[in-house]
Amino acid sequence: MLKIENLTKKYGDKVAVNNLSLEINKGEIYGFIGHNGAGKTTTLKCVVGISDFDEGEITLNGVSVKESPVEYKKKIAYIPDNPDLYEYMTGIKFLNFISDVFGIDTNTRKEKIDKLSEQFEIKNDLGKPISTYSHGMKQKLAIIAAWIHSPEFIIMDEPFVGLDPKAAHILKGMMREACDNGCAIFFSTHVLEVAEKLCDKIAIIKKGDLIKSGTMEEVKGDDSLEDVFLEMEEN
Amino acid sequence: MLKILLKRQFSEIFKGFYYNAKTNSTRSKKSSVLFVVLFVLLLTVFVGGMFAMIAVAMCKPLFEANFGWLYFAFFSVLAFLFGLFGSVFNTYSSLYLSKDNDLILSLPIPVNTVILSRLLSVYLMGALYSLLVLIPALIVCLFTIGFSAQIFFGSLLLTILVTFLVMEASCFLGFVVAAISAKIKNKSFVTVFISLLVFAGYYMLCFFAQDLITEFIENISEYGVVIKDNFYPVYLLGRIGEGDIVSSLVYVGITASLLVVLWLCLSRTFLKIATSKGKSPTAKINGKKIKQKSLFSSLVNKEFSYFLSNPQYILNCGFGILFCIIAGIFILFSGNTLVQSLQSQGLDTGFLCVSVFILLSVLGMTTDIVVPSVSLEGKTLWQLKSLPVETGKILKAKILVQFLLSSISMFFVSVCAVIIFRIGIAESVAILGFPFIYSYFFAEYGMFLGIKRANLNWSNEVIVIKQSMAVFLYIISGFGYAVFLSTFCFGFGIILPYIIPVYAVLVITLCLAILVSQWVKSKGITLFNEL
Repeated sequence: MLKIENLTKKYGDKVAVNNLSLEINKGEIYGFIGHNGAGKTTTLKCVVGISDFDEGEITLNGVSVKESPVEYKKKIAYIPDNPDLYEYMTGIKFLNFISDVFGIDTNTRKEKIDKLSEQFEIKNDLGKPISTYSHGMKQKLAIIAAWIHSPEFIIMDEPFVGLDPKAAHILKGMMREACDNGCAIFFSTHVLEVAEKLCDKIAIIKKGDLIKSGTMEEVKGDDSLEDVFLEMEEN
Repeated sequence: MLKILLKRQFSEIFKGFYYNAKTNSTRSKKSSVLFVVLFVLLLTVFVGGMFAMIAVAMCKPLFEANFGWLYFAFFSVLAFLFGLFGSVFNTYSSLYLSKDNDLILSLPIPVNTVILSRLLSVYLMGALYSLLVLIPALIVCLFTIGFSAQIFFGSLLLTILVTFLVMEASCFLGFVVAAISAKIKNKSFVTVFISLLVFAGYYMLCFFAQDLITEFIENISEYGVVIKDNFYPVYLLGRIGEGDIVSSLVYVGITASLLVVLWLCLSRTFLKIATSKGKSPTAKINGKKIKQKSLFSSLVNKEFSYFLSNPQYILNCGFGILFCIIAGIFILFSGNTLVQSLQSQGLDTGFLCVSVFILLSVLGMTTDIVVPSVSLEGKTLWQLKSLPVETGKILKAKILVQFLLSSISMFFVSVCAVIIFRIGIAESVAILGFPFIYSYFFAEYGMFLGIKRANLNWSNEVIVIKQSMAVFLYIISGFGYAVFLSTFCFGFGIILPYIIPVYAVLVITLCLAILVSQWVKSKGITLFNEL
């Protein structure tokens, strides 16, 4: 499904991501962990097509993010670490805007908005301007917007930050359900317990270098993910 | 602490002078100084020069008639209104709506220091405008009547007092807007409505300014007495310029008292207003609110929504639309007199056509919605970049909003002109076509500037809407275009029928529009993608 081949991204002389290669298959929840500034967000932004990169290639089912960005982005959804949404819009206007971009018909979008906004308990807030939303509400709205077009691949940067325990639980369920239906998810997190329980595969990045990746068993063996991560960080 | 806050605020306002957005680096000292000098030069030549000319016309007759106080009173009131006009619409957002409110208020900085730093920004913004009126007036005065220590120190005190009065008035009006804003649902509408009322009053005054000046000079004694008897505070204000101690003490007392009241009001309400989100609609969604649009119309709708939701944006970048409506109505009611006056001087309809072109280009340059539109994406740019939308369509939607609003409002003026002036078919076609060609060029040019000088890291929208170098360059280019247009048409009009240079201007503008449009479609898209 998603292939990252020899990805290198530099900011001036600083190498933020160095020759990183990963493959994420259909149905997989792929966790991405690393210390602050390790290159997680940079990698995710390159995968989304927000940031250009210096070397390598990223393809989704053979479609290149560089060669056919629009075609590529039709298949994905992205939730950033800080959901800066259009504050001048109401929640419903924002969801309509995203639906228009993906060409979702009225009935489908209505059905999805109803279902997801009820699940996240923000249905009654959709008529309010986003400027009045709390961080958690914005995060919920960003999640609904990401799920609205049934993407093939979802990229999330710290998706659980700001969510209340119930919403975090719902999101975990949605992630599993989406992947069971053929989607794949690539997300970064600092919450290692969540990664351990939720992910099928995991990748650890340190100072721009991918230091370990594979199934949960391959990466951590019999230890806890936290122990493995801390040991790798120290080395 | 205050120094740190001021440094941060001013570094943002004056970022364009020392930071090159194109190379993402700091400018050299030489280049920064050059930019500052150019900016000051343009302000003093364009605006200061205009007031200096009025001062030259008024100074000698007023002082000779022993009405020196009237000279100072006139320019003080003018400076007060000009300063108020320049700062009042940004006062509210400068004081309360900074994006870094949460950060600043969470830091161990006394709230009063935050208020003081914001207040100083408001003061400087108002003072900048007031001084553009007062300094030329004072220089003209000292040159015309000769140096006198009493007048020099009096006028110096008057200048300081006027700048403080401007700040106080701006804050009180801003405070009223803020108080209302915290209680109402539709902030944009009320802010725009109140602002338009102030604008209307201001422009009514400007409209009659020339007549007032002539009247003043012709009937100095009568007006002097009337003002002294009926507007005594204005008389006292003028007397300060002449060095009168009693008047000075009265005004120092008033200004200081207002400052104390202002400070008390701000310090007691700042936190409440700065952290208020206002009342928002709790309307539940219904089926009508969920409907499908095409991708492009959705992008255009997004741009319109932003424009209409933001009073700062409407007032600073869409003012030309209102100007056009007023100009169109004015032509409908007073155009005939203008035609008769031109015909009596033996000028042909081609001359009229050029005049309409100049009027339209002056009106059009104040519509600059597209210029800050890229920068306004700010931290939300990730959304457009992560969505399956071609960059060309994003830019086209932004350009279209300005093109539509600008061309339709200008077209209204053109239709009024064609109806009233009853000119030939060739002239009518030119006048009716000009709004579309002009708007096409300036919408594309605005996008060019918006991309070239994009600033996504602002903490207050006013920085990109009003105070950015891109907006400044756009307005200066608008002036330049109007100057080129008049020079070209009137120059060639001496040897050719006016209609020839008129059509030549249309062709040149269209060619320029196509050139800039090509840049936006190629280099512009690349630069936008790199943001």
